[in-house]
Formats: sequence, structure tokens, C-alpha cells
Amino acid sequence: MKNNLNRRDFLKKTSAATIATMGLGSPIAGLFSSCNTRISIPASADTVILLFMAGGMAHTETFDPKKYTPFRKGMESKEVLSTFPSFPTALDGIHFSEGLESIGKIMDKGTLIRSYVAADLGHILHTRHQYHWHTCYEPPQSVVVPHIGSWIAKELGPLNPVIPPFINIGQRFTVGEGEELKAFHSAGFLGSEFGPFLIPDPSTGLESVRPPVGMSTSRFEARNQLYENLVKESAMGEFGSDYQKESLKRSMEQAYMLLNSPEAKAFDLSLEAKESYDMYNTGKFGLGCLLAKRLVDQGARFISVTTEYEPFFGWDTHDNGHTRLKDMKKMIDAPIARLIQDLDESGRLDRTLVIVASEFSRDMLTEGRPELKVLDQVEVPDIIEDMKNYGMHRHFTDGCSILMFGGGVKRGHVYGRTADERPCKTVEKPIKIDSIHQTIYHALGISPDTNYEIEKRPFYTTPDGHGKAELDLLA
Amino acid sequence: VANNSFLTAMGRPNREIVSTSRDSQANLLQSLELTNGEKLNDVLYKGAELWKEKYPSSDVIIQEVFVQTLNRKPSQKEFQIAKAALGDQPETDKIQDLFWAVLLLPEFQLIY
Repeated sequence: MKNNLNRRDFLKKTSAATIATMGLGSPIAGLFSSCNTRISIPASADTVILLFMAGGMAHTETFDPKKYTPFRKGMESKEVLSTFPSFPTALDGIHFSEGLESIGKIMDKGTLIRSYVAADLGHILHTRHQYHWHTCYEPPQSVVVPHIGSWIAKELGPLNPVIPPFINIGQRFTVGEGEELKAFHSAGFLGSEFGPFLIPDPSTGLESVRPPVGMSTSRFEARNQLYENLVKESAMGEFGSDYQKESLKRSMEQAYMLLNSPEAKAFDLSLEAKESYDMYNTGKFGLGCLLAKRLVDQGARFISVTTEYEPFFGWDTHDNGHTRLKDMKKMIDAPIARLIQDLDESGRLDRTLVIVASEFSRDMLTEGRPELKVLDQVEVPDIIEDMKNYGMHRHFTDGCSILMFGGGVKRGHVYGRTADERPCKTVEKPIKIDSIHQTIYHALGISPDTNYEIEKRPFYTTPDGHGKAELDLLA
Repeated sequence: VANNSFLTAMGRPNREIVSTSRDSQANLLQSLELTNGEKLNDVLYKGAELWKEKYPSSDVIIQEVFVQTLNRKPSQKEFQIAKAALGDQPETDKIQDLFWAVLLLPEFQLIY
């Protein structure tokens, strides 16, 4: 233990001693004193890549197609379950929606979950459901809740000390609902050390790990030398608290290490072989997958790549669903399949868990779930005359697809089922977010009862530690 | 003041969410922002340009940097280190780098 108190601890301790009777302060027996009895689980994965289909990916138009009804003027909207034909995948009897052929071919390497049931959070807002997906907690909360990537960064630390343990690729916060997006891209009470290292655009990822633009390497070195010399001479060297000195110095050294490390080259996509680069390059998301692969090769711990949420863009199809999904599928199909193949070929897939998920699904008619409908947000005519009405435009929570590959997940496995008629809801093995999170933690060897005492109550990775790892998903 | 990546890295909370704790440790994301962030880099460069006009010599600049940031004169050793870095006729880049080094001293930074 360090003898030096920092100002905050000093105030906490003294206020606790003097006004404890007023019930105000508390000595906070270590904000981060873990109070759990951890169960030890052998890990089957060291790394997680979360590929997030932000905006609500319709299961019936992607990984769980139903009867195809081609567009014709005057068709009834209630006839339409899928707006694409389907094709057989590498898994016996399992079809995907047209446009996902590359992923279909590699499904023998992973598990398809067809029974994810998203929560009922009332009137449906994407950012609320995304918050719920990424933190496992329903917003709003009285404390800032950590992102799943932050829990993993905190519990396991970096795999390679120079690569930040939680990297988030592809999401800008300058879009609509930016503040709501920020709310769950946070380490919360775990401390910002475990927060996301943000790379909004993978093609400029290198900028975050190199000296400022216009600064030569020799100047950068000289500046660092000057800093180190001054630190040694500083009066703080004699009187400062170890806590502060060490913490600042350590983080400055880490930054210097990263900026100078050979691993920083992983951020430079221009170093990738052209053939490989072109295969991934379907735009920002595809390049995000490429960056994820390069970072995993160098020892990343948790990486999230998103198709990026922006209201009414991407998967958030409130109109022209059919037409827009063609583009979305083109954006994700090749890079996801390539990523899985590359990881498999390099042997990293065995210890890398890749997850493809979305906050909820979509349907043409049902908003929410069949027995618990919420306010419709999109006008859907009974008779479709215009192509723009042909697509899944309402938010559906009762049957969503998730793909998992690697990291101990079964190969060539299908879990759960949805009905073939509307409402195409989950009819077998419903699985919820707390189980999904616990399954991920289980694969990583993180105990289900991991918790910290926050404001005098235990705070678990999932609310009250609920949700069981679904062992049927794991080999 | 509009939020920016510098303020976010330094722990400015988001207005929409309740924030009840502050970090008491520096971290990698902060030091990266301090080391190569555009915002701080720009501010220091502009400041260095002003100082180059305003102060006649390296000696005065070194004295002023210490007095204005740390409220004290530099020790003899510190003065020598800074002088070696700046040279006799300091360029904007050199002044900027001195600013940077002094601002990042644990003595200047308060983590709480």
C-alpha cells in the first residue's frame, strides 16, 4: 500500500470520520475492492471481435429467411415475409437470404443462433436497445455502466501490453443520437483506463497511434527525451505522491511505447497486401474487419466493429428496405467471410470469438413483439403499390439472428428456431442478452459472479448476476 | 464549450448520463491524446508562435515558462536541460516542445 493519499481519498476519509453520523460520507472500502468469490473456468477464447449490425438487421432478410414473395404492384403487405429468395448454406437444411453467399459457405465453421429475443424497453429506440445489448443493463442507470468490452478489458487486461485492450472501430459520435451512443461507449465505474480506444474511421486509424501530423521522428524523440530529463529534475520527484507520479509516468510510457512499437503498424492498412485489402474493402465496415484482423494478429483483446449507427441509415431501414438491404448485405458479406477464413487459416480462430449481432430484428407489420406490440413508427400500407414500401420497416424484437465463430463455439451448429409464418417469432430455445453475455464471459474464463461494490451495492457483469452461459453453444 | 476529443479523453462527463465517480489515475487513452492529439498540438503551436514574437531570448522564455506554469523559477539543472533543447535562437517548434514537456510534468498536472 502507498502511504500517500491523494486529495480525493483524503476528503473521503476525513469526511467519513467526521460526518459519518450524518450518514453522508463513507470510507469506501476501496472503490474497486472486488467482493466476489470467483469460480474458475478454463477459457476457450482470449480475444473477442464483435461485429455489430447497428440499426436493426431483419432476420427474415438475412440469416433466417422465410417464404419469398417477389414485388408486384397491388400485393398485400401481410403476404410478405421475405423480399429475397434464399439459397442453401454449408449447413444441412439451412438457408440464408440471397446476398450472403460468402458467409453461407463458411457457416460450417460456426454457430447460427436463430432465437435471440431482445428485451421489452417500451417505445423502441435504437440507442436504448444498443445500450442494453452492449452493457446488459436497461437505460437509464444511476451509475455509468461499463460496456462489455470494458468488463473484458478490466478482467483480463491487454493481451499485448502495447495494444489497447478495448478498441472500437467505425462509430462516429457526431451523428444523430451521438450523446446516447456515447452513453454506452464507456468503461463507467471501472475507470477510463478500460474505456474504448476509438477509431471512427479505420482508414485513418494510423493517425491515432503516430506522432502528431508534421512532427518528424527525430523531433518526436528529442521532445520525449526533454520530457524525461525534466521529469527527473522536477521538484515533484521529491515531494509528489507516488500515486500521481507513477500513474502519469506509466501512461506516458505506454503511449510512447505504442507510438514507437512495431505493433503500431497493424493500424496502417496500406501495408496490407493489395489482394487482401481489395477483398475486405466494401467501405468503412469492410476495412474495419481488416483492421480487426490485423490487430488480432498483434494481440488485441476486445474489438468492436460496427456498420455504424446513424438514424435512418445503414440497417435502420424505415423505407426502401428491399433495395437498401442489397447494399447492406454487399457491405458485410465478403469481409465477414474473409475475416473468419483468415483467422481460421492463421490458426487464431480457435482462440478468437467472433460475434455478429444486432440490437433487434425487423418485420413488415409487427412493431415490438406479437403479444406486446408497441407504438408503430412507420406507416405500412395494406396494399403495396410502390417499391419504397417493400421491405421490413418496423422494429421486431421477438426473433433475431446471431452468428458466432471460434473461441470454443461449436462448428456447424444451429441453435433455436423461429416460426415460418407471421409473426416469425422465436418458437424454440429463446435466448436473452444476459445469457449471451454470460456465454461470452464463460468462453473467456470470466466468472459469472464477477462484481464490484459500487456505491455500497454489488454490481455484476449482468444485472444481479442473472443469466446462465448457454453451454450448448460451446464445444 | 463544445465537447471535443481532448476534453472527452480528460474525463469530461457526458451531460446525458449520471456520473458519480472520477478517475484518480492517468491512463493510456489520455496520454495518447496528450502526446499526439490535434487539439493540444494546435494550441501549443499557436502559443509558441506568440511567445516567439513576445520574448527576446531563450533565457527569458525558459524563466517565463516555469514561472507561468509552475509558479517557480527553474532550478539550475532544469534551466540547463531546457536551454540545451531550445538553443540560443529558439524556433517555434522548439518552444512548442518545451511547453509540451513542462505541461506534462506530474508537477503541472493534477489528477484527482
